[in-house]
Amino acid sequence: MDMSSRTEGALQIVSVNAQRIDAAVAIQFKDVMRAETEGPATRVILDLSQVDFIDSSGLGAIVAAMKQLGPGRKLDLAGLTPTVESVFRLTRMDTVFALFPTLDAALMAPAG
Amino acid sequence: MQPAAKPRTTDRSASFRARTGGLAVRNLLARAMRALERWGYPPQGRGAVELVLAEVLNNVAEHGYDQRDGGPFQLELQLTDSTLTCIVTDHGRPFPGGDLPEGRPAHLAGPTEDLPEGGFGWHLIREMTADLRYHRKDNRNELTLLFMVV
Repeated sequence: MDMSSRTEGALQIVSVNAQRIDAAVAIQFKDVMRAETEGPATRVILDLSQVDFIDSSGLGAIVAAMKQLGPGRKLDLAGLTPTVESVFRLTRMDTVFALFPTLDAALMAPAG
Repeated sequence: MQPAAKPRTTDRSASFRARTGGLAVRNLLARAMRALERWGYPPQGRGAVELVLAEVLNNVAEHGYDQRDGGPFQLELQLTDSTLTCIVTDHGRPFPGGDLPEGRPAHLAGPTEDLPEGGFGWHLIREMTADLRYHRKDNRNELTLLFMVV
């Protein structure tokens, strides 16, 4: 699964360079996230702007990615397309994650 | 000479067959979504249909066939002006108790480490469909999902 990452101090941005996070790649996604987020960044922004489809397996993998960050670190989500956002809304996962329409909006948000 | 007038209809239908394993679900969904696009189904509605069908077909592969490769399944689409009917058929295990899962929303209160990583599928399916019917017939599961075209 094609993902890339850059770190700026305590902030890390992980970009998913794929159109789908679905059952076919959910485990792979979780493993790549674990490897990518081994660093000390306390805030990780997952850039989903290239992703146009997430099913419940993909959603579960994103939840797992947040849990494996451990305490004191957070995972925020940016660049959600309307379809992707509806998955978070309907499962009420929008109450668990901070969702931002764009990466810029996530970067400008005050640290929480 | 004038040809005999054909009945005018906007109804469309298509069916797709595949076997579980690898990218089977993803590829079948892509074919179904291309059909809906050709038929002019609204893009926003296609996203909902794709999500629901992904959940249903992943369940078929994961639970109906217990992750085994090679399990046959079929998706039939029937589009009218106002409704889209999707019929998913497979030869896997029946639903436990012969009924579709209730699809209660996941429990999200509590600490991060206790958040659920699954069990969202049936809630999404029930939230995003107008009607659902399940029949077990001749050792086959037949699930009929109805969407309103908006």
